[in-house]
Amino acid sequence: MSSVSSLNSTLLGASSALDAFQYALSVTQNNIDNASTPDYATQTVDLQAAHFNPTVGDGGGVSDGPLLDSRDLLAESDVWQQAGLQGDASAQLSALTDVQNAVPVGTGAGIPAALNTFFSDVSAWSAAPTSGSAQQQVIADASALAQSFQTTAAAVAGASISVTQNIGDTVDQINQLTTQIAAVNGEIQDGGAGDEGLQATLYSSLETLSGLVNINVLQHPGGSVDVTLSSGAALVMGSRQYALTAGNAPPPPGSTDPQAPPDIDIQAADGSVVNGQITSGSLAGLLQVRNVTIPGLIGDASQPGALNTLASTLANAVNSIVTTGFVSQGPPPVQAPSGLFTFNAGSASSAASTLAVDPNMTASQLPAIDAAGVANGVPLDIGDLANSTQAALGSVGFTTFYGNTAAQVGSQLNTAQTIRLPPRRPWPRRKACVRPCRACRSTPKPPMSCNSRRATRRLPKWSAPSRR
Amino acid sequence: MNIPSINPNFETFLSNLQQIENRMSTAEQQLSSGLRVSVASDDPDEISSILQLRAQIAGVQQTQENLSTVTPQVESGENAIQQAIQVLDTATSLATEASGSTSSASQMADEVPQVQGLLQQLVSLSQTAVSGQYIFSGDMSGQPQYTLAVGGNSVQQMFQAGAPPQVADSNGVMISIGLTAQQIFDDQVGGGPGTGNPAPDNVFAAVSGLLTALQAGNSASVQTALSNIQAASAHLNDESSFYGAAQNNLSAANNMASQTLIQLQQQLSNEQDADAAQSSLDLTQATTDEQAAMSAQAMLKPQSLFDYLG
Repeated sequence: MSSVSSLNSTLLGASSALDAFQYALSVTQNNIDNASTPDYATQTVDLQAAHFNPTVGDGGGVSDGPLLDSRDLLAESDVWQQAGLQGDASAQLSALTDVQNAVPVGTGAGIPAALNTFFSDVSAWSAAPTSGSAQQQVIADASALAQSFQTTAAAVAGASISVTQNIGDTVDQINQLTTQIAAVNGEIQDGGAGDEGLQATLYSSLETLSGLVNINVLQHPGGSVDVTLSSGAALVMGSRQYALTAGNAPPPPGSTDPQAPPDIDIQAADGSVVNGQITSGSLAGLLQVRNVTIPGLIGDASQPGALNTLASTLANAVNSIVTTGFVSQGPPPVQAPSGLFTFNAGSASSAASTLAVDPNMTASQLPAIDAAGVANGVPLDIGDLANSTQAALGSVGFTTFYGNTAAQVGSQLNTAQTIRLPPRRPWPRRKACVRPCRACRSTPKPPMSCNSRRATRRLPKWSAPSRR
Repeated sequence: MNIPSINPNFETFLSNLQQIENRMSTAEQQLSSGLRVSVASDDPDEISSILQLRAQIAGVQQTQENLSTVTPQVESGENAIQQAIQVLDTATSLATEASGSTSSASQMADEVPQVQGLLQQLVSLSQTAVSGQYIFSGDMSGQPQYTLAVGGNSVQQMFQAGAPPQVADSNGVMISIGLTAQQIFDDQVGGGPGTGNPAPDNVFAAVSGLLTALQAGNSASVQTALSNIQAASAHLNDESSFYGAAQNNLSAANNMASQTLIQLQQQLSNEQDADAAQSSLDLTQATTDEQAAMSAQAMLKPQSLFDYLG
C-alpha cells in the first residue's frame, strides 16, 4: 500500500512539475510573441521547490511561484530622461535649421551681401558725385538692402509660425497621450493590475510622452501612475487627465511695443503658466526656439531683436548723414528732402520688416555735398559706416553684428546636433536578462531587459498567461 | 520615443553609421562647393570674421575701381594745366613783343584777336570734362564754373564752387584729387569766397589785363600784364605740382589696395575655403569606415528565438 502511495506521490509530483514547467514555457512563449511589442517587459516565473517530507506525505517537486516582470522604474526614468534630452535636441535642430536658413551667411546671400553692395556703390558714387546713374544705383541698392531686411525678417517670422504650429501639435500629442494614460490607469484600477499588456501600453505612452515633455511619474502599487511636470503641475492623476494648452502670452506690464510678436505660453489645466517647468522634451526645445532664439532675432514685447536693432541703427546712421547733406549749395542751398531710409519707428520690433527707401527721396535729390562743402562728403561719410562701429550694436560694425547674430544661431544648432546624436549605449540593458543566467534568475526582480521596449507600436499579442 | 530595434548593438551600429554618413556628407559638400563654411553652424566662431573679410574685400575692390575712375580726371587736370602754361607762354611772347619800345598801338591792336583766342583757350581748359564731369567745377561738376563773357574780353564766373571731390584709399585716408577752376585760373586775395580781388598771379585776370592793355595801346600796362602773366605761369606750375602729387598718391594707393586685397583674400581663403586634400582624405576615410562597419555588421550572428528562451 505504501509503495502505491509512494508511486502516486511521485506521479503527482511529476505532474505538478510538468504543470509548472508548462506555465514557465507559456510565459516564455508570451515573451517571444511580444518581442516586438513596444515597452513590453519580459516576464519570468519564479519556480519554487515544493515541500518534500515523505514521512508526512509531502512528495516535493516544483511549483510555479509569482510572475515577475523585468520592468525597473529607475531604468525607465533614465530612459525618459534620455528621451527628453533627445526630443529637446531634435526639436531644436529641426527648428533652428529653418532659422539658420533665414539668416544666410553664404557668398552673395542675404543682408551681408546687400550691405556690401550698398556700401560699394555708395563708394562708387563718391567717385562720381554728380553722376545720375551712380545716384540711381545707390537708390536701387538701398531699396535692395531694405528688401533683404524685409525678406530676412519675413523668413524668420515664417520659421516662427512653423515652430508655433509645431508647439500646438506637440501639445495636442501630449494631451492625447495623457488621455491614453488616464484611460489605462482606469483599466488598471478596474482590475487590470498585473496585466503586462496594460503595463506595456502604459509605459509605451509614458516613453513617448517623455520625448515630448519632461515628466515625473509616481507609480501606485496596482501599477497605475500619476504624471506631473517637474514642479508638480498635474498631467494625469489616476484616471483623470489634465490638458495643457498653448497660446499667445500677454504683453508684459510696461511693454511699449504693442505690435511686437507675442511669445507662446503653455498653460496647465488650472490656467497657470508652466513654461518654466518644461525643461526637456520636444516641447522644451520648441519653446526655446520660439520664445528665446526667434525673439532674439525679430523681437518680442520685451526686446527689439537683433535684426530690428541692425535695421534701425543702419537707417538712423545713414539718415543722419543724408539729412545734413546738400543737393546743391545754390544759392540758395538745396538740402535733402528726407533721409534715405524709412521704417516704423513706433514699433521697435518692426524696423526690419518695414525698412524701405523713403518715398520722398529720389536719385536726383540724393545729396552728395556735406555740411563742410566737400563735393562728395556725403557718400564718403556713408561709405565710412561700412567700417565704423556703432554704440547701439554693442560697439561693433553692421557686418560683424549680423555675423555674431547668425553665429549664435549656428552655435545653438551645433549644440543641438551634438546632443541629438545618441550615446553609444543609450539605454541600460543587460544581455543576461535576454538569456537569463543563474544569477539573473535568482534576482527577485531583474533589471529591465533589453527586449523590454520595441520599435513598432503594436499592442501586446497576449496578456498574462492563464493559470491552468 | 521609440527604439527602432530590439537589439541595442544594432542601435549603436546605426548611430555610428549615421555619424559616418554625416562625415561623408560634410566632406562631399566641402569638395563640391570648395567651401569649409557655407552656413553659420559650419563654424560659428569664424562667421563674423568671414563676413567682415568679405566686406573689406568688397570695399578694397571698390576702392580700386574708384582710383581707376578718378585717375583719368587727375591726368586730365594735369594736362589741362600744362596746356594752360603753354597758353601763358604764348601770351608772354605776345606781351613781350607788344611791350617793346618799337611796338605801335596798331601793332598792339593786331595782337588783340590772338590774345582773345588765348583767353578763349584758357576758359576752355577751365571747362575740361571727363566722362561728362567738369573736373574743375568742384561740387558742381555738372556744369562749367567759368564762361567767356560777352565780347570775349573777360571771363564770367557762373557759381562759387565748393571743395572738389576726394577719394579714399583702402585705409580710408582721403586723397585730394582736384582743384577748382577758381583755384587754378582765378586766384583771389582778400574777402570771402567769390568776394575777393584778383591776385597778382590770377591767370584769367593776367590775360584779360593784357587784352585790355593791348586794346588801349598802353605799353606800360602791357608791361604790367606781362609781369602778371609770368606770375600766373608760376602759379600754374605750382598747381601742376599738386596734380603730380595727386598722381603719386593715387599710384601708391593703388599699390596698397592691391597688396591689401591679396592679404585679405588669402585670409578669407584660410578661414572659409575647404582644404581639398583634407576633405578628400576625410571622404575616403569615411567611405572606408562605412564599408568596414557594414561588413562587420553583416558578419554578426543574427538573433534567433533561442535568444529569448530562458
